[in-house]
Amino acid sequence: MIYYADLLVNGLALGCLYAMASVGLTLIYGLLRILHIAHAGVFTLGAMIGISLTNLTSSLVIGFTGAICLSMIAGCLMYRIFYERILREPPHVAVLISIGLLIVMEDSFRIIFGEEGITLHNNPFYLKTVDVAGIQLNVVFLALAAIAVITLTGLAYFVNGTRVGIAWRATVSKPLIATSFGVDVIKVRYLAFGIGSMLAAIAGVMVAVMNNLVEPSFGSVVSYKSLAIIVLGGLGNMNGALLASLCLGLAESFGTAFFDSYLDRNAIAALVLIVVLMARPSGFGRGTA
Amino acid sequence: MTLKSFFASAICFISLLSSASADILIGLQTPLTGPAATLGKSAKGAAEIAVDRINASGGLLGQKLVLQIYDDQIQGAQAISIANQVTSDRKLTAMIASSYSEPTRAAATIYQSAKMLYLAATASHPDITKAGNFVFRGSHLGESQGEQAAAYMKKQGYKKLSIVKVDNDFGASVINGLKDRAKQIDLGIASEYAFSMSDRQFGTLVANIKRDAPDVVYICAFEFNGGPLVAQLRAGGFTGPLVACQSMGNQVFLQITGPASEGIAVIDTRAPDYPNPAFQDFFKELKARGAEASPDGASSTYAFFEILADAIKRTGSTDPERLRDAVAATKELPTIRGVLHGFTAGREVLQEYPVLKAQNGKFAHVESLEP
Amino acid sequence: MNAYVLGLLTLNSIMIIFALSLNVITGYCGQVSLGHAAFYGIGAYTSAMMAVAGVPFLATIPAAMVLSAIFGYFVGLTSLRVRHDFLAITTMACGFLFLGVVRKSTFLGGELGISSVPPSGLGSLGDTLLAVGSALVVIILSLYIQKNWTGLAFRAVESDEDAARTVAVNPPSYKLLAFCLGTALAGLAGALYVNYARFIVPDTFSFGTSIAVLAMITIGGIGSTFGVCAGAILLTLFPEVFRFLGNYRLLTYGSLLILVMMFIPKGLAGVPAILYRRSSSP
Repeated sequence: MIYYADLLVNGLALGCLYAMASVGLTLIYGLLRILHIAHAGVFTLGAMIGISLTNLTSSLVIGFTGAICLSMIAGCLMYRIFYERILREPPHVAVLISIGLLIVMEDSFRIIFGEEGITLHNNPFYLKTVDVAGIQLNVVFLALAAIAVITLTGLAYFVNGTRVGIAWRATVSKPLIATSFGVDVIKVRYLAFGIGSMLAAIAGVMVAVMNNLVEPSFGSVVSYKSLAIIVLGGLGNMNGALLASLCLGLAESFGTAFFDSYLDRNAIAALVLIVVLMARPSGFGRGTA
Repeated sequence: MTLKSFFASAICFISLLSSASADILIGLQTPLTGPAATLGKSAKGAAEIAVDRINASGGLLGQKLVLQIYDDQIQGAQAISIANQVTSDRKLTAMIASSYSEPTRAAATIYQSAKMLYLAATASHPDITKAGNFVFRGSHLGESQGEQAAAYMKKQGYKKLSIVKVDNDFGASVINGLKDRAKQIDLGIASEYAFSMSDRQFGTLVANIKRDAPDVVYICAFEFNGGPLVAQLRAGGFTGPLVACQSMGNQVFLQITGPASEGIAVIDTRAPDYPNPAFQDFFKELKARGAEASPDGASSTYAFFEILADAIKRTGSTDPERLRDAVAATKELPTIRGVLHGFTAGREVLQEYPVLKAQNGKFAHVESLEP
Repeated sequence: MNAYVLGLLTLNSIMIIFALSLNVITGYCGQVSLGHAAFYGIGAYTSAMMAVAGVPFLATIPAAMVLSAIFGYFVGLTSLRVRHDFLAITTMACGFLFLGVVRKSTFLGGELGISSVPPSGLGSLGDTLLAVGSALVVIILSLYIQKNWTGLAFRAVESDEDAARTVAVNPPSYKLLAFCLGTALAGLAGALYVNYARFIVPDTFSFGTSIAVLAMITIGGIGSTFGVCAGAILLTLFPEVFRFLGNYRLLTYGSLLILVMMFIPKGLAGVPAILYRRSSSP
């Protein structure tokens, strides 16, 4: 019984990890319909900066702050330099630019930080666990899960329940009308990239602390799964994204336990995506954001 | 003397002259750039040390040794391209490959059909040496590493074992060898698990192993996934002994796992304190050149230079067929990796398997298993 | 003719066929596919396994094409349910599913792949002629489709599916046709690749390969046969030509993708139009 509880908890925690890494992507896709694959690069950037700063200053707080600020700037810059001008082009253009960006970022990390990656010199949270009813839970994993749930439900409330949030959604469906109502479309976009990147950076630093390792291809673990989550969650729907992340995490956790002699982890996620989409082409969400 | 035989002897004489004054060119195919550049850097360092030392002691057959390095970026298509180029030019005496399995295997076919000596220093895919009799391997076949691991674990008195492997050709071959030998020597296998190269979260795996409660866990992975796995196993409450394959016996693994590495045994890799003075001397020189990140790849590359040098001295020529036969006939040659007993009929190396243990954040040599 | 040049000709021909095959699906018919490497892989594995079992190479080619087309049909069915971004992600998932199944299947060689594929018996010059000849046939086929009714129907589906219906062009059948045709040609490329490398592993057909072939057609110019050929040759020769870049090779590749998409979104095929406009404007 403990075994199944173990799998359940791990699946949920994994789902929260995916959720944190994908929130930004969901926000951006919801607002701009851009498949911002380079988001995985921001995730890694946050982790790299966070660990380097922490190693330099021996303070995790400085590491976190630096990672968040620099990632936000990076995210906004990405929008301004790369995406703004191609918003009217066919979708494959944005996808390829994003992939190109991810390749450039990953290779830059490899050149700057070395391909072995970097580790934390002094990691106070490493291997620390709490015992909950016989299951060992990693402290950082728990914190990550908590932050993920809070952030996502908070954002969902914001986007659905507040005036500002509704204004945001208006800029997606009808940018011209939104502008005539006084919504600054450009500011909304920068906010989306900024907040999304910040959340990715937080997730990145926490995962790095948890594993005690950041490598250049760190982001690839989540990047393509994030795409699956946007799609399953249904076009930028925040609640849908959380639900989709949890389902994906659970599917992987139980799937690898029982099917790992037939399919690897990525294939299980892929199968879930295909099956769900064929059954419900608009994903879990109730239509548009 | 007929015109034909005059020309024939003239050509022989001229080629004799040119070979007497020409250098001996040895090629190194390795990933200098791209994701496996660490291996490339170490292999290059080792090759340069070897060439410098050989030339310092007079070269081979009175000629200078010259190194030609080719960057395959661990891509099969690149390796094929390099092989086509090199076998067309025919300037190299031999090519040493310190790279991954795909580029090595893809190129091996071409070197074999061109009858050029191809020495695979690091790749583990079983079919590499099956390409033909001009292909030799200097590192241990995955299967044989697995067999030795089984023998080692049986010797320690373990009865029930859980296997965890990474999903790639190396993991597959090591575990195949391990399972075959385990069956023969009556070592019980409680369970077997696999994970993909990019996995870093092993919640399910840790849960499975805790439930199975084996006497020992054998892990075949690399430092960047095996490291987190070992850390999570320990954090998850598994306290049993761990044994790992050669690719986890390095500095980065120790950095990632920290105190979680204590007591893990690693089979078939050399610690910096490996009890061979020539190795220690080589390792010091490697460190000085900043190329010590892949010590196994480096020492295997260097050893092939030792083997080639020995073979060239024995035959007194660089003729491909005679050189090939000389390499195949190598017997009890001292190298920095210990004594090379020789090559098997399948051109696999017969050499000891050193065992390390992690103690206080460092790897220490424990013993050596003979084949 | 030396082996190096022959090898390059063969590889470039294979990549041209591979790129043109995706062009039919994504370029002509507008269905974005991020998992095209899987069909390249299905063709390759089919040919490799049959060749290892003793079937003569030339006979494996039709089998490879048919099998790829069959799977292509099923993946094509997904394009009837989802479009654009969602289709891109679904096809990407299909690619990962293919990889996952192959990696775990001992029948398909698993992680060790399939090696020791016997030579075709045509000799190295023969192999190259076969590859180059096949590429020429595919180029002519591609031009033909572009010009004839099928090509028109594809373009109708790509621009506006509902409008297409009103002129008796049934989008589902044409989408499926595009997928079957495109994937069959990818299977051809896969079989030829097996004959070239005589060794395949799952990694050869990774997501990176799907991206690379998409990059070939977008850099070359989606929809344009000659543009796509140029894109394929450029990206295939890239490692050779840019060998001097050494450690910065991947960086350059990524930057190239970004710069071309940002400044010449229509690809190389769009350059003449841009130049013409520049030169003719006052």
